[in-house]
Amino acid sequence: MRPPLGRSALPILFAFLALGCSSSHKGADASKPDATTALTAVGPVPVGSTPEPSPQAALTKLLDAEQRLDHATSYRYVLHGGGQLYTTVNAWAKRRAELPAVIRFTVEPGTGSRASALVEHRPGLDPFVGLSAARERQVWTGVRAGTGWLLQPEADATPELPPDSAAVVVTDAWTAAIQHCDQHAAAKLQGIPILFDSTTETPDLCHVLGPVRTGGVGRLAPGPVSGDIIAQYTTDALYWARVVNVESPRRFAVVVAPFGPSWKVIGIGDHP
Amino acid sequence: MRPKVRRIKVSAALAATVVATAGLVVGGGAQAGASSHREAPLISQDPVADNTDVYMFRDPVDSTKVDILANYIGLEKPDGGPNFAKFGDDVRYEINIDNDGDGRTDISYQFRFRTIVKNPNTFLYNTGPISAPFAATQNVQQLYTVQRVDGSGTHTLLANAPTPPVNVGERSTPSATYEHNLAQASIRSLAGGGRVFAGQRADSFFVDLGSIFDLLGLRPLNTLHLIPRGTSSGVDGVARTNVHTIALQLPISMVNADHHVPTTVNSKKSVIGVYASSSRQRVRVLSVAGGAPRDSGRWIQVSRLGLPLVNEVLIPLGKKDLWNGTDPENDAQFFGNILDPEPTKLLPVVYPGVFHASGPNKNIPTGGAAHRTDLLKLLTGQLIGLSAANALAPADLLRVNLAVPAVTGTPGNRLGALQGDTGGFPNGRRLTDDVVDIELQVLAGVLLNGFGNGNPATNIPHTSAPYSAISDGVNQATALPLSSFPYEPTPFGGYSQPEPGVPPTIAP
Repeated sequence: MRPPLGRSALPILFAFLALGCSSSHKGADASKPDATTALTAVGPVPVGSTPEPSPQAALTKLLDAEQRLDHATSYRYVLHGGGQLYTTVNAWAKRRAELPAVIRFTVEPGTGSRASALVEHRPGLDPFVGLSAARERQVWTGVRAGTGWLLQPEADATPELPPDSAAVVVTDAWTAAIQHCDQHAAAKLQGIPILFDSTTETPDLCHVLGPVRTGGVGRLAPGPVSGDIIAQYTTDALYWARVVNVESPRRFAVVVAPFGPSWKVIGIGDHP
Repeated sequence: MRPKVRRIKVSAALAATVVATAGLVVGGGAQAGASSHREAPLISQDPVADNTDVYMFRDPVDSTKVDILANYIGLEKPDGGPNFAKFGDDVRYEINIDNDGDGRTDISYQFRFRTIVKNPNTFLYNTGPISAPFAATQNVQQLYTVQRVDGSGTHTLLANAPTPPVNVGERSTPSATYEHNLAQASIRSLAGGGRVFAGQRADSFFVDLGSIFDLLGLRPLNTLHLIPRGTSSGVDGVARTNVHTIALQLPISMVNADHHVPTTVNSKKSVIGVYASSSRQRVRVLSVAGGAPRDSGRWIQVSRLGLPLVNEVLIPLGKKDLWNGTDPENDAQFFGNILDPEPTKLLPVVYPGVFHASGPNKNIPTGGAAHRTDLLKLLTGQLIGLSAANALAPADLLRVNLAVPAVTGTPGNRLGALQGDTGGFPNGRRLTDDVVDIELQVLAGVLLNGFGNGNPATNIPHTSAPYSAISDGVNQATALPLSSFPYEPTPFGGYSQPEPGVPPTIAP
């Protein structure tokens, strides 16, 4: 039995930032310096903004507004206006609609120019938002504005993922369901109704005898298996998706995505 | 990066300059299109994301509904195999609605597509005749998902719906059954109300592409051109081409700000404004191993369209890409170009015997907001039943007054409001509205006091020619609209394409 992989084994994914995800929603960048002493006032307070006494206070107000889908209010707590990323509240609202909706949040205590929060979403996967993780940690960068603080409009977000061991369990169960020709049971273990299938020969497992034996769990890598998935869900999939190799009764790979506390099958590909 | 362009100044020397150059449009290798086919340098290199036309009209069959059609991927040749045209899996397509007149989007319908290749070990699009959506013989299948974004959040309205197969040809998609068995069978209902279709259709736009962009030639007026040629009928440059259409039929109550069918014509809330757009992610990383590129980053708008022909002929080359990336609420930066239209200033250059820019026979309108009140009214909804007191925020949006009864569009009422038809352009836009002729005549001044006074039969000042003579000579598309949703005609089939100069003998 393979030892389970804990969440502590999750690597920090600087590689994704290096790929040029200039406004990536995913991946904490620990290389950013703690800016407690680095920041100076940014000049005039943007019109319509409401600087708060601390980044944590600003983040609390921002997420509270976002929880109510009140983008016009949350806009007041981010740096905006001419020369900024989101020059109008409409542009901000468009961007917020591309991100998972906030269900609940807890701003973590802290000092300094960064504010972080644990944010909960309704778990799911769709081609507009991508992965909506059940819970993720968002880190926002504060910016001095007048005598208070505003936030940079893009946060670094790291979704909490189930353990890799759970991906193996799901893969075993799904493969067994297919072996038993039980499409109903298999569908329950799938995250989307029509799987991504990049196999050159789709493994036909129905009524195929023999034990299900899975191999290692790895990340989704750029290549034939990931192309269609990335087209739908962006390169963030390279972070949150897992690939579990099935060794018998046929050899192929299963792609799973996190749905809340567990994984679900979203695709199959050729065994590497 | 925008291509470098030579600036062509409208001056007395322009005639010699025009003759000397290869054409009026220079730079980037971009061929000019029409309505909005390949109208800007960057989007001309990205046909999959290129928004070519937007239509919107109150449904002629069900007056409680409004139809919005957005076309992409213009100038598709029907015989486009082996990799036939399809929506981009890495593009987000949008239909955006402003229902309170402030020029900002209140409701957005968004579309994402996904291609499934059942058997990657063959080059074939289909392995036999395709008899129905999701047929086993269709090897390349495209699905789509629709979501609505509004003040209450984002809502998935439809997931994994099929597009019909392209009209490959008589063996694969027989013309006798294509429309019923494949196209109509692909129409889907939306959660909460309305219907949707996404797939290949015949292009309903019509324009003498070849002549208009050959130094603003209008074939019926060929003998009057600076470089005269024999008079001839117009030639439709998009004839027998296809597009990919996203069509929505929505209850008016779902898009109107008051959630009901309005009855007061002179009311801001009776009007909705629409623009269609497409977006791509900011960063693209190509694969070194021939795999699909990887896109990442936030979505950036790369194409948009509201009123026809604006980016085509009113926005200069140096701003076209910027225009495509701009939301209508920020259109003020372009009003200098829109309200002082370049085509108007070029009329005296290319038709010097008819139009005069100065002197006692000056007969073209002066540009600018103070003089082009007609264009300002177009941008503010005042040409579709709203008074000055109810003028909307100026923006490039296709607007329709939903309190005005629908009028079925036909080639007979192609000139819309210019012939007194309140159901046609600029009150929305029907598939048969001749926006090229309408806009040519408007740019020449047909609506202005002292010029056409709103009547196309009025002679152009100091001439014996009426404004109605200003025409490209193409008055209808090859294929006329259907009588029911999705209204866009059946796409032309690949097998039925004629050899050059030979008219087709097989029905499309």
